[in-house]
Amino acid sequence: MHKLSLLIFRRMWTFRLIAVSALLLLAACGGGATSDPADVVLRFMDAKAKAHADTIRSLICSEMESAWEQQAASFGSVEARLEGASCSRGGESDVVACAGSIVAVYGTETTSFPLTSYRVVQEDGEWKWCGEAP
Amino acid sequence: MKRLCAAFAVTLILLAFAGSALMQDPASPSLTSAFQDINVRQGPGTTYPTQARLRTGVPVQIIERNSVGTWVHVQQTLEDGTIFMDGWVVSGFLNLSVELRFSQVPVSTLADALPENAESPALRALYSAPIISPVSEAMRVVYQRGLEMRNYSHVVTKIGDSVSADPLYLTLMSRPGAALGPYDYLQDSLDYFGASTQVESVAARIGLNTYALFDAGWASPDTCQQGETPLECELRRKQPSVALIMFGGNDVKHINEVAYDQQMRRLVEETLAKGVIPVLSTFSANPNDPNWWKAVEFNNKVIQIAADYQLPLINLWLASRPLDGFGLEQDGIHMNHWGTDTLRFDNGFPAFSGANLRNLLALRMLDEIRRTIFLDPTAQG
Repeated sequence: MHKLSLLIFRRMWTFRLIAVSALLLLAACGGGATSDPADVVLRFMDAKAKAHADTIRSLICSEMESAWEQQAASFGSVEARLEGASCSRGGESDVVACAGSIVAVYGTETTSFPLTSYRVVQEDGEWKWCGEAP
Repeated sequence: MKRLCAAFAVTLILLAFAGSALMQDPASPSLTSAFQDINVRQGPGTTYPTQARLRTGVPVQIIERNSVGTWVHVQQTLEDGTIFMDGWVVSGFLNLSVELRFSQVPVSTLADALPENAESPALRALYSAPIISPVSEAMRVVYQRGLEMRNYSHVVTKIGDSVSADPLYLTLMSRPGAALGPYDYLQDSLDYFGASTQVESVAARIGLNTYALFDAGWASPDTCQQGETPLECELRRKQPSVALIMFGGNDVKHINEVAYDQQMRRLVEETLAKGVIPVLSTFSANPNDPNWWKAVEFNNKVIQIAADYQLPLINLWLASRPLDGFGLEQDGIHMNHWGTDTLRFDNGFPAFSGANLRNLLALRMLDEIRRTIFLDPTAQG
């Protein structure tokens, strides 16, 4: 009885370990930023402010692919960052509304560019930024 | 006989004095002097060899000018009528008479520069392009199309980065108290376009570059429609006949000349499609700047694009060569100021401020367009 209990206890622990590992793996795979459209938009706008071309290219939809250079270079002449930025998707729609702004500094001048609503599309299971919402 | 001889002698003496007085007439508006020692060159530009120094205060006569008036041909004549010194100087260094009117001074046909004397072959195109290009027949077609699209003949706008966003650029033309000084021939064009420059341009912003111009995120949400780019927004709300365009100071720091060329062509094509005459401008640069040769490449692109589309071109780069620091502030991008908020082209000012020189050239180009196209009786304005 004692041996059986020990075996059951060990199996339970093994099961728990496997379960936890699987959950962690799932979280790692499925819980990445690209799975959340609001997060994708936030990351995209952050990359745009910082002129991070690679990130922009990875988050832009195929329809807008020809504009990736423009999106990457648009804030290239200023020191820019996101300020007070937050985004949320309206239900199951393809529109993500953002608050906050890109703050750009040029010399002694600071300019604020308010964030707006953006369209998102799903491509190969990943959410992509797809321009301003009409 | 003796009386007749004496009378003849007196007449001769009087004539001689009269001739001398004519040459030295202090009331003549074309008589002038330099307020500091300056180079006298063989032609109206810094590539012409220097042949003499004009000392401060020495009287000289203005004989002719370049197409703008920024350089004048002067002569120093001795009392016996001998021409002692003959050459070209920057007019901004002269004590010009308040009576002087450039409309009455003949315009020289000499080129604005001698490209063969350029410091490097890469600069030849920049020295070959005149400060103010002629306006082509192709622009007449653009203007007519613009009128059909309900563009306003008397409206001009500006498109560019912080150098153009500067409230002292172009906007000054709308303010009262302009002092054109000798540049009287620009008055009609100032009256014609001036008021339209009062409204701020949403396509001339601090930090803007040739990519941002096509990014809706850079359009002012208070003024522009959702999804509109700054360029689309500006051309829709003002419906101008002319757009003064200059980019380069920002772009030269982060994109290559191929991308710059591509973006500038896109800008030109979108402007032309709206029936607006795009006036391109080279930008000033300092040879000591680390981006100097890249700026030269960019400016060469501007000249090539203007030629390809037969566009009016202001060669600010060339015009700013004689200015202290090439008309630039210490940052090497922005045009320097002398600190007034009215348009002034009277004594000396165009020689000491890049921003003022740029205003002068903009007005001179608008004048060229108005006279060549707008005043043409075949055009319906």
